[in-house]
This record gives sequence, structure tokens and C-alpha cells, in this order.
Amino acid sequence: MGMRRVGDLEVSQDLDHEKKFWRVQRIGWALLFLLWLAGVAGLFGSGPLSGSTASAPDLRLEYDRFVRSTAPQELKLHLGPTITAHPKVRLWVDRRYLESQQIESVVPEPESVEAGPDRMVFTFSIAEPGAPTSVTVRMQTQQAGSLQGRAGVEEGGSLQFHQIVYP
Amino acid sequence: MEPVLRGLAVYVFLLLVFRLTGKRSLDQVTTFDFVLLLIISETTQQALIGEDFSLTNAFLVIVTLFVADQVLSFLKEKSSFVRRWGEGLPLVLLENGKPFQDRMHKSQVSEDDILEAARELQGLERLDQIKYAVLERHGGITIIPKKSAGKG
Repeated sequence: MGMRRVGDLEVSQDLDHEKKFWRVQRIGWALLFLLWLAGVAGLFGSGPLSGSTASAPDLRLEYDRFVRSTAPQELKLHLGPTITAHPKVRLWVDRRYLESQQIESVVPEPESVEAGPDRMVFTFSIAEPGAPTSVTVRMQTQQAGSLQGRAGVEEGGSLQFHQIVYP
Repeated sequence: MEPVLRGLAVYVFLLLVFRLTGKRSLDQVTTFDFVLLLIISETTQQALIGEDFSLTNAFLVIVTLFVADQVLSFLKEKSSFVRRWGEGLPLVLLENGKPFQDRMHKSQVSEDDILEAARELQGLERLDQIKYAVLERHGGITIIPKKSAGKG
């Protein structure tokens, strides 16, 4: 690049480039702002765009559509009266899904956990048969990508959910 | 593999953000800018290291950052396109005492900034004593006084 002269100054000033740069800078700012807005709205987890539910008869799962790898997340499963009519409820979750998670706590604590070929089964006793209750699982996702999960109760239906995990 | 990807992602992201926010952002660091910078580095550090506190991980990340920086400076040397966009070009902000308001506005430089540089670097008192004020690539302002004015 040859040096240009501006008056007596030998300086590689390029006003055309500067104009292009200012335009790119402005677009960049706009994109950055949009990214920030998307973050506020929950596109990167924890916000109105992210919160979602999946349901089956008398069974409802609250989950986040967008989660971040190694950040805490929560699955809340609401059990309706026809399910809690049984004294014990056997809740299962897809084994492939759980293998991508690090479970921090299950509230209430299950009486037993059994490993099956393609699902883990958690058994809970019901305090008040016929009254709705819920089970909350807190965990961390360990891998980024797209996750398909399945959960259900052996006394009732099952449901599917889909999550996108950011790195 | 993962530390390298983390290092590269952080390097590219920070490069883009700092280029976007303009040359001026880091030259005149106020106390608050300094604190902001510390917070940014603190935030970055977590993502850079992840949950792996081993020496190997740290070394890999550091080497990745150095390699990325070396590659960028090599490309800057080889290609004027990369140099222009990665580093910017100097810009004359004032000629013969007359400021270019449009350029100053776009580069977020005020007359006060120019006067400050003039006082600091050349001991000048007024804009009309300045022959050229140039916004340099690193974000600083350099001043060339008119022959009659200045230190001597």
C-alpha cells in the first residue's frame, strides 16, 4: 500500500475505507444489540422464549427449550390426580437423556432408582393419594447440541421434549 | 481439542467486539474503564478455562491465544485487507486548526480530546496552533504543531 499525502503529512489515511468501516461498525452494533435483546428474551436460556411445557394426560413437564452447557437447569414434572391415586408412582426418564446430564438433586428424593436398558426408573411414595403433586429434578447439561428427552410414569402416559444446549 | 476451541472462540469474539466498539475504547482508560476491563477479563477467564483447572489446560489455552495472535499479525503483514479491517488506518481529524467534525463524530473524538492531547504532547493552548491532529491506529491522538507554536 503506497503512502498517501494529506497536505504535508505522509499518512496512509483512506477515507473510503473509513466510510466502509463506519458502516460495518454500525451494522455490527445493531447485530450486537439484537443479540443482547435475544438474550434478554431468553433465546440463550432462562427467559420467556425459553420456558416451555410438554404434557400428556394428567402429566405436565415444565422445562427450558434453550439451556447452556454446565449451567444449572430444572425439569419440573406435575403429576395429576389419576396418577397420584396410586400409593407409589414409578417415574421414568430416557437413559440417553440422563447420560448427558449431571443430576444435582431430585426433590422429593426417590425411594429407589432402577436402571433399565433404555430408561431410569425413579419410585416415589405419594403422601396424599389423589392430590396433585410434582417432582423437580435439578441438573447440569454436560454436552452442547440438540437433545431429545422422553419421560413418563408407568401408571400413565409419557411425553417428549426437545432442548437446544449452547456450549 | 476443547481448550483450543475455547481459546479460539474467545479470541475471535473479543477481537470482533473490541474492533466494533471503536479505536478509542482503550486508549484513554478512565478508572471505570479499567474496572470494566477487569470484569470482562474475570468473566472471560471462566469460559476460557471451563471446569478443568489442570496446568495442561491452562497451557493449551495460552498457547492457543498466542498462536491466534501470531497468525493474525502474520496475516496483517501479508494482506492489506486484513490490516485495514483488523487494525484500521490513521485518520486526520484536524488540518490547519480546522477540525473535521464529521470524522470526529464518527470516531467518537471530541475537541476536548484533541486539545487535551495538544496540551499533553506539545504544550499547545488552542486548536489554531495545531497543524495536524491524527487519530492513530492504536486509538491515541498525535499532534503536529504549526511551526510558530509549540515547545521550542
